[in-house]
Amino acid sequence: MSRIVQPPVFDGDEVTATGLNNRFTQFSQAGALNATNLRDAAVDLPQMNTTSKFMMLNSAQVNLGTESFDLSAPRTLASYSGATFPAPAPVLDGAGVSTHLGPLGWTLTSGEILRVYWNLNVSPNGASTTNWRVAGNGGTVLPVRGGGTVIVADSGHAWLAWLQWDITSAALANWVPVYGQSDFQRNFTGALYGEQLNQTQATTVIPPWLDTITQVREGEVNTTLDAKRVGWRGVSGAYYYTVPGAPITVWGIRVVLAGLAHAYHIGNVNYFAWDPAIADAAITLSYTSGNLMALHHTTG
Amino acid sequence: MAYTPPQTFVAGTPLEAADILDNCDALRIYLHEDVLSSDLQATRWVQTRHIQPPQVDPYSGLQHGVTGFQGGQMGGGNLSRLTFATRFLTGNAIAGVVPSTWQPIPTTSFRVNIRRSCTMIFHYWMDIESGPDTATGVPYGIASDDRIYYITPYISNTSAPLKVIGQVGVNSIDGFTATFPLGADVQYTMNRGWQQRDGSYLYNATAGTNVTVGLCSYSQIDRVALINWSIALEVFYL
Repeated sequence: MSRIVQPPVFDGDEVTATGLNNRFTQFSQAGALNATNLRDAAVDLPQMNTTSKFMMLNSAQVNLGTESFDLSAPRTLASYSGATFPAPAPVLDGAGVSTHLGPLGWTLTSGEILRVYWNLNVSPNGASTTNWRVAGNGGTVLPVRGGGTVIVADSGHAWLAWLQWDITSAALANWVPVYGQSDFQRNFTGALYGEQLNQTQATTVIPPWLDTITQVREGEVNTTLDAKRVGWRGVSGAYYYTVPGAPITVWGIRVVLAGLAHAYHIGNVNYFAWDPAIADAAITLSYTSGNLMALHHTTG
Repeated sequence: MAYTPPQTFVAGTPLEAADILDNCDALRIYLHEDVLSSDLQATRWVQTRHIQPPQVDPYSGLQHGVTGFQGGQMGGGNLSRLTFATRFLTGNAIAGVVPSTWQPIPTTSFRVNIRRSCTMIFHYWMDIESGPDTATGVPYGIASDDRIYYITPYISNTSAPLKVIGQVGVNSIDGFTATFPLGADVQYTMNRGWQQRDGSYLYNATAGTNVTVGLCSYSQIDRVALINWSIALEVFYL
C-alpha cells in the first residue's frame, strides 16, 4: 500500500498550511516508498544496498599445482596397480602441499547455487608401453588386408580428475566427493572397482594415449600402428550444485587425480572401473599449474 | 538524498501557485532520480518493470544493467572469425627467450567501465590447432617436438599475463607427406596438435575503473590457430 494516505483535494475544501506541508513531507519518511510511488524503470544501481551481498554471496580462487613454465619440473602421478583402490591424489604444489580452496565457511541454502571451475596443465606419459593393445582389455581387433588381425587401442582408458569437498569443518580433514560424484571405490561386480556414470557429475576424463592405424580401406587395415604421446595440454572441469534439502556448509574444495580407468558396459549400465592390470612404471600423469575457483550466489 | 520540500507553508501568508509547483517539481525529481535504498520499504515489492532496463552493446555482446554485466561473443556466426597466436611475436622459439609482454589474441577481449566495486568472471573456450613447426637451425634452440604455446587471460594489459594459470599446448609432430597422395600425414583430429580447452578466471574490480580482460599468448610454434572460440563475461555489482 502506498504511504500516501492523504485524500484528494475536492472543491470547497479548506486549504491550510499544515495540510499542504503534510502532503509533501510524507515523502521524507524512511522505509516507506513502494511500487505505488515509483514509476517503471525508476530503480537503478544507486538505490541498491551496498552493505550486504545480494547476488554474489561469496567467491574464491586459488592457483593449482606447481608453477613450471618450461615444464621441466612437473609433479608426476603413478598409475595404480593394486587390487583395491586407495584414496585419489590431490593436486599438490612444488613443495608437496595440497592446493585447494579453504577454509571457506560458505553456508548454502535453498535458492542459492555453488559453481566451481578449474583447469590444469597435464601430460599423460607411457604411450610407448603399448601393453594396452590386448583384446578385451584396452584393445580392438581389426582385420588386416590380406589376412590376419591387428590390435589397436580402443581409446577406452583414461586418467580421471574430479572434485572433492569438505562439508564437515574448517580443519579440512574430511574430504569426500562432491554431491553427484563418487571416488570410484565400489566393488560393483567381480574384481572391478569403480562407479556407474550417474555418479560422475564432477569428473573430467584425460586420454592417456592416441593410437591409430595408418591406412584403412574397405573395412580392412594395414599393420602399421602409430602410438602417439598425447603431450602437454590443458584440461578443465565445471560443476554446479544447488541444495536439495537442509543447508550445508562448504569448508573446502579440491581437485583429485587417479588412473587408469576403463569404460565398461555391464547389465545395461555404463561404468568407469580401475584397470590395475595395465599399470606400468612408464604410465604416469605429469602436471604443472592451473586454476580453481568457486562462486556462491543466489539464483533469483 | 531524502526528499526535502523546498517550500514550507506558513499559516497566514499568501499561497502562491509557484510555491506549490516548486514542491511538486522537487518531488517529481526526487521520485525519478534521487530515491535511496533507505527510502524504500524493506519488504519485497520490486518487480522487473521497476528496474532500470540494461543497455545492450551489440558489438561486444554485453548488456550492462543494475546488477552488472553479462554476455559474450564467439568466433562463429555468419563468418568464421578464427584468430591466431605465433612465435614470431613472442620470442621466435629462441631458447631462453620469453618476453615479459605477451601478445593479445585478436578479438578475444572485453573492455568494460565498472560503476561499482564488483566480482568479474571471465570465461573462455577454444578449439585450437598448432603447427607443425619443423624449422631448425640457428637461432631456434628448441626442438620441434618440444615446442609449446601458452594461452592465458590478462587483466588490463599483457605486460602482466597470468602465466601461472595459462593453458599449455604442443606442436603437432606429424607433418606433410612428400609423396602421393600429398597432404597432411595424419589428419589434425588424430594428432596431438588439435585440442579444445576452456577456462575461467575471477577478478575483483574497483568502482570507477575501465577494465580490459582478454586472452593473450606466448608461442614457440609458428602458427597456432584458434579455429573456433568464445568468450563470456559475468560482472556482479550486487
